[in-house]
Amino acid sequence: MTLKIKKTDYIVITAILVWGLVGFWFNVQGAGAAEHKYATIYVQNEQVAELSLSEADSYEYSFDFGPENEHTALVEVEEGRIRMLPLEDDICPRHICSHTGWIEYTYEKIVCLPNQIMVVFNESSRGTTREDLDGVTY
Amino acid sequence: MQPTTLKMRNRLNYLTYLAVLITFAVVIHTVEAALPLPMPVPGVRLGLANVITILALVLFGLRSGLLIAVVRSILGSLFIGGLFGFGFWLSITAGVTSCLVMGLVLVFQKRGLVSLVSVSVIGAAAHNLTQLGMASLIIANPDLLRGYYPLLLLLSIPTGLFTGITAHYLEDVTRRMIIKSGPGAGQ
Repeated sequence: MTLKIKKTDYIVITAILVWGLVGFWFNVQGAGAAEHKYATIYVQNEQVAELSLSEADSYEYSFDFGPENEHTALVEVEEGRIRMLPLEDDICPRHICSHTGWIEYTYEKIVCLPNQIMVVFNESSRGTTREDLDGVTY
Repeated sequence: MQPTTLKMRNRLNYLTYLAVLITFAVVIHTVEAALPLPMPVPGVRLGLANVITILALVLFGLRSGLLIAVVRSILGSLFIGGLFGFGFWLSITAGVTSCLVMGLVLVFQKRGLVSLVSVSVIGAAAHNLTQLGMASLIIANPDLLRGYYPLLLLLSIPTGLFTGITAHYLEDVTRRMIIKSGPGAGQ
């Protein structure tokens, strides 16, 4: 008994083909427009700000922290990157946060342990390229 | 020892065929996992073991198909390594889902609306999508599903066509063999 491929088979295959191609098309369309990141600043696990990091954004943002909000930190946003500027020596003795420098990929983050400040990218951030990674494992 | 009744004999026949089918499925599954593929896309496989699942579905029905899909995943990952690991969960969920979907499409195939090729292609698509969905669920990254599914969907067409055509001719051969060696034969 030879195989008879019916008309409905062609319809089924074409439907899957079209679905796949449309999915491709949407992904290609979405790739260019979605180049947008958001960085969130946390102090003691509480969100204090959400900053937009598109290519065009270039600004500085300052926020107060500490037991009586007596300290001020400054972050700088530029060309889709963000960095923390140095804090005072007495509350941030080793300056690890500012020495981290610019972060631009979503897996990067800035952490200041003595003051419990954290700058991370949101999960909704898109368009992160990982070209300097050989592979990612979970 | 001779089986006493025809019913027992049928049951014995069924068990034997099922055991042979499971053996085939596990061996194909294991060998296929060891084969390197000249594919730039990770996770894509020909899915030859799916042929056996389709065969069991056609010959013995949904329950046998599910049994083969489950046992194949468990034994297969026992042989390959990584039982209850990442690959195992992908394999078993995808196997069961595609089996259920194929069982559904097989209803239409029995009515002559579609051929086994459709069953196989839809099964392959369901398999790939479930596998990808599970993978993105486990690593908690929906981007994987979003960015990758069209490619896997497209690739399920050639693999589904191949397994479907194979299953069609295999069914033909197997049916003749079963009739030859079935109850009452060789006496």
